[in-house]
Amino acid sequence: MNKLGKIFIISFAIILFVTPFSSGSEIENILRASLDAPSQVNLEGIREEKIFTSKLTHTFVSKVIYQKPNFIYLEYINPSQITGRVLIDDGEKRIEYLPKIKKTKTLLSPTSLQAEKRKEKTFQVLLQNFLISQLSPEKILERETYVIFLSPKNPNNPSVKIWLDKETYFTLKKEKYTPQGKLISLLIYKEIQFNKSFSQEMLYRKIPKIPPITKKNIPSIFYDLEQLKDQINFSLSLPQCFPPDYIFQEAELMRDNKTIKLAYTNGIQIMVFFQRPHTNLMMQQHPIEFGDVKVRFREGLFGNTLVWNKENRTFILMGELNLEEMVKIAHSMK
Amino acid sequence: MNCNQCKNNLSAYIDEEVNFLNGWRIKKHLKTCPECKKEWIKLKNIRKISKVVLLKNPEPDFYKRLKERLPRKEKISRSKIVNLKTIWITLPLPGKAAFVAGLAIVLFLSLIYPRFLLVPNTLSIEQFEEEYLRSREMLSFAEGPTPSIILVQE
Repeated sequence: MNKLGKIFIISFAIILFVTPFSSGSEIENILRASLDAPSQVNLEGIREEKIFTSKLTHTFVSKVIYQKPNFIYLEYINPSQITGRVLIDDGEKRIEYLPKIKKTKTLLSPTSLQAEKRKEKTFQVLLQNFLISQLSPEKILERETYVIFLSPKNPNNPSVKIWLDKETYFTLKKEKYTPQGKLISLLIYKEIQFNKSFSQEMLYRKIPKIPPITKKNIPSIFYDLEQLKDQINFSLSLPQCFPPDYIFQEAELMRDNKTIKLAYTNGIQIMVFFQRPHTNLMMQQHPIEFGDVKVRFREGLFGNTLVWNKENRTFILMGELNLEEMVKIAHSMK
Repeated sequence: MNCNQCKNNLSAYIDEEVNFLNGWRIKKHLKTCPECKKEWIKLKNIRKISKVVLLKNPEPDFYKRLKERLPRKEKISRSKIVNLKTIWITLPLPGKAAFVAGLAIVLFLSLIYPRFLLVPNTLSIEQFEEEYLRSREMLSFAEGPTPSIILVQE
């Protein structure tokens, strides 16, 4: 073997080592296909979600029906306090019905055109902030899957492992880990049956009355910062410092026209920041002093909350961030 | 009030059909005039008896007398309006001022109160958490439809 041949073999080996089983663009395509998969399948399944905290494990079981092109039906069967929650998504709007409290809510569908654009933006952030690698294939419910691992470029971010059905690219299992490698959430299908069709009308019958779209429940409009400034007649405060890898995603003027919601993402996690005129927020937590700012901090299952008042305005920050990170953001407001 | 005025209004007074001011005048007159007081007691007793006795066949002129009394009621209600005017005229200046100020406060509050309803200055943190969870569901690549929202609501 000549010198050139040796160099070629060594280079090939290095490439194989860096990307264990396939090229970056191919994995990207698989991931992108997985985003569209829910609108390309007809299926019925039983899904289990587990959220692990230091003290407890929360388990949720739901019956899921996906009907192409854009129909999702989800009914919780466990735990008892959310049993019967029905979620119907027709690709434009999402209707949530809570039988226990007889409450119906209409929202923008995450599969709507507007939401798709936002998902694509998040996907680009994901590609920037995470290294994508393909692991050896595994079988889930007797189906061949691609196993994809998203490892963060920044060691403070979480990592995610996804099992995608090889035939449909549908997500059959998903695990999320802390930066320290501890499992924090798990989603897995316990039963799944592809190519099963349902009458949508039959599923709509589960909801007693779908409210008409009125001014009260009209889906939200999202803006970029410049568009938002044109919509409001008061000054906007923005954080000057936020965790690495987070980018501004969108702004929303809430229905009361006084509350602004700014959303930031790192591709996997989000951080939401509200600001409104001075408001007394009903919270059990006592204020803690941090320099010239008094804050109230609350830990939650899906993220933490920090509340503070400044210059006759109330600020609320929510995200998967710790107290120190949140206080740092609060101090950087301008 | 003189005796004639008092006697004319005695029947209405017993039936509590006179306005407050006239009632007060009659009451005052009855305290000082034994003759009118006697007439008042007499009329009162007749009323008592008439309430007890059930008239199976009313007297021939019963309806006639009843008709006669009906316009009197109208006259009384008209006189009430007239008396309101007289109350306003006879009201001293501080009383008038207090009345106008009270009216202004009621008007002001009725205009301001709906604004308080529209812009509540006390809110629950849960509604913001709900919004956060919805964004989490919509924006994060790692999250599908989650049960998180309901956890906040319940």
